[in-house]
Amino acid sequence: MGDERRVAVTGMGAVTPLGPDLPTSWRRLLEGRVAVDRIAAWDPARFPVQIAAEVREEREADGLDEASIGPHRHDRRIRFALQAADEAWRSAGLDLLPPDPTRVGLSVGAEAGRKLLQKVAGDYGRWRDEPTLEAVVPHIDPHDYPRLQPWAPTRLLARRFGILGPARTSSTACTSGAQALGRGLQMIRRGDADVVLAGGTDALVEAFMVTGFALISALSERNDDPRRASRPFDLDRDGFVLAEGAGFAVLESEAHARARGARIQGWLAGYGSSLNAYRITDSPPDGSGAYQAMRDALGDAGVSPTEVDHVNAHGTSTVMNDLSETRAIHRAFGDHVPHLPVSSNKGQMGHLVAAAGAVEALFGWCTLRDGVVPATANLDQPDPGCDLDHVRGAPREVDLRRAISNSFGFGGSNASLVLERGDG
Amino acid sequence: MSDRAPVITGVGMITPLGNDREATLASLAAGDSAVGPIERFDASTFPWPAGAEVRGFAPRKVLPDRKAVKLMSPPARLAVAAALDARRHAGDEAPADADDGGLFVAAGYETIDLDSVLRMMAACQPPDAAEGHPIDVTRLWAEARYRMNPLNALKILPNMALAHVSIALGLRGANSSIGPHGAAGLQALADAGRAVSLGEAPFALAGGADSPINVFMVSYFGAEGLLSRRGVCEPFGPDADGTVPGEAAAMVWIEGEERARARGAALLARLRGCGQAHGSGGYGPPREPDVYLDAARRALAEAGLETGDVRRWVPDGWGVPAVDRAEALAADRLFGDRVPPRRADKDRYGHAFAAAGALEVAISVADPAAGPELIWSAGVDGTVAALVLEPLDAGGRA
Repeated sequence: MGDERRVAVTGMGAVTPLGPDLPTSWRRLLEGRVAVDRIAAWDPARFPVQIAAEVREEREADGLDEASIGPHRHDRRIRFALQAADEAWRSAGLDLLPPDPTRVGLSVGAEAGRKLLQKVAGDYGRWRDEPTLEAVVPHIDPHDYPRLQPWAPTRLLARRFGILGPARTSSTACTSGAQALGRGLQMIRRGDADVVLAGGTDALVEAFMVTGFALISALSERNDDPRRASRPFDLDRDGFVLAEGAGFAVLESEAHARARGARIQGWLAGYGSSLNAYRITDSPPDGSGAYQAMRDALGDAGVSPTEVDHVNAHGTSTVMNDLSETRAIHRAFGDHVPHLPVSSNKGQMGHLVAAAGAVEALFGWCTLRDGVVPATANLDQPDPGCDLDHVRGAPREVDLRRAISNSFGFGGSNASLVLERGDG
Repeated sequence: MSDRAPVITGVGMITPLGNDREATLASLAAGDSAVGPIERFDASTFPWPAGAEVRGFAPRKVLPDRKAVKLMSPPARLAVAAALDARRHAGDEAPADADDGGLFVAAGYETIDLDSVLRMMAACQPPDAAEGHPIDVTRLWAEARYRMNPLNALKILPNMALAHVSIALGLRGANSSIGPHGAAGLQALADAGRAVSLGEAPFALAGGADSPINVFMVSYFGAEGLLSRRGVCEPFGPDADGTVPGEAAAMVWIEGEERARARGAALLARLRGCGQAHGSGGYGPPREPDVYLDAARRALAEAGLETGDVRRWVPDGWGVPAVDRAEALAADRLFGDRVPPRRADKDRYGHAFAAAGALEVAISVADPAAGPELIWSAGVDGTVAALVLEPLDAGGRA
């Protein structure tokens, strides 16, 4: 009655700039809607970058007691995580029949809570020159510390869903979400858990991160034309667009899923991770680290390159990533490249950083389920250095069985996931 | 044992007791304690007076790329120093399979280099702002563009210790950067052990680094009731009133047994099993014995051992009474009336949070028990990670 090591996807949920849940986000992705706009949450007028993809529609996510959620009510990365995880949990049917909590694990990709830095900095201004107890303690809110931490969403998700098995937080910048899914896969394969809630969350559209990324010229400055700013693989690309949101999947051993009659929406078949060990900001031009992640993911899934039907690319719309990723795809897939439709979701929803790998994997499973590959938005004139079978203009209908989803991060962590179509 | 059974062949440390493995072990053997008044900042008015600080560490002399040092937060510097020390100890200076070498790092609270970031942001405070007024973020770009080295913006990413160690040692394989809390160091070791045993990496470096002695951290942990007002960490002691923050990095070189034997390495210890559990209580290290018990049972089950096989128990030993009580109760329930000898030495080097679990493993490797030992640590996120370590005698050298 099913393999204990084979890992099924039985629940999915997301909140993205395209929509407050996964079905809405996916529908709008196929419709070609672009969620990049002038920043509305604060006044960006004095910044070189004034655009982002913000989440503007949210669902309510209940189920957490006031004492737990209260201090975090305004922490967007936590709200998004609770909403997306709630959708995933329900879509897996776990709200109706909760599993043994000691056999449920949690794997979250998240970064520090940056928004709060602004509040803390305001306090810090009061005492930085004279850090005496009298000066400091009136400004210390004991809740601020956990609010800053990458593991804050993990702790609250464990509380919300009563998870008592292994819990971990992966913080590898833009690779965090993909690593969280990969670690979830390993928890099940190794017998540490039967069910793992795995995904990523981030809320980066705030002044400090815009400043930081603008300082290293990583962001698009196409302020006068936001909808055309994120253009992965296009010759006129000038950087990525910051976004926010969360994506979660319920991963489950096949045996556990079959035993409870769960609907199998997809399979997570393989995971590979690597490091560039090159430079802090740059990826190696030959794409070696990215290649290694794809190679290892395919090896982990036990499939050959020709058995892959689609690449959900990292495709950030930076000059460097898109070239380096293209070379890596050529190296990993060789002669199969002409038969391998490639698309990046970032043209429409921007870069969700710690959530990107998770949300894009969810879109990957939707792609396999519906047999339709979304187009890469704004790919008007492909960079000749990015010579791939790009899906552009409109989504492409293809019968697909297997896809690979890539994530590559600042600091040189890379991760690739092999996704397979579910039962329908 | 399979040819990929994970064995430890080297450990590296930089601690308040010494700036490398040898110096740390010599101080430990001499019975020294590095806990003393905080000197890193003027803590004279704080009710939590003590810390265990790394002293005399000159990163530009120790680290290979002097230019990179200014881009590294304090935990990243410590992590690279400990990683080099571990590689030296393992005698694996230029492995041909470095491209597949794994790296799992738990890097600590100050990875986000709060002091420099907050100074820059605080400059955006309107001069006439009222008490508690949030900073005016619209001024941020104007302040930052002249004050901030562009690459400094990247210092705040939690995975920078991972990135700098990978560059310094040329490790390019399976990896993770694990959310900073007290259990993260053991989670990193657990990841590495699994990566090696499952063939994801022929060898892996794993550990943690933390540098929590600053106004910010001391204030928060103090306000949370986790730090000693007496300035003494006294794990399980009758007068215990909290822990003392420590600064450290510890890294462990882990490889498959066949690889280690093939290169003639000394086999120091085996990673036999690991287990993790999560509490559902409030913020802070779990106060529920069940969480420790569950993690320990998972680790023993993976190791294929009974509780009676355990020859030493290394609890976290925060010196926080409610946490100590939970740990002691868990041990009573796990071991019954045969609780093995306990090692709990944070009175001498403080609690180095994200580095703590890896540091305990490194110390145990140097001072082996008479048989398998159970080590666990607890994070303020509610996680407990447990690990079963089996020392191998010097005859392990192939």
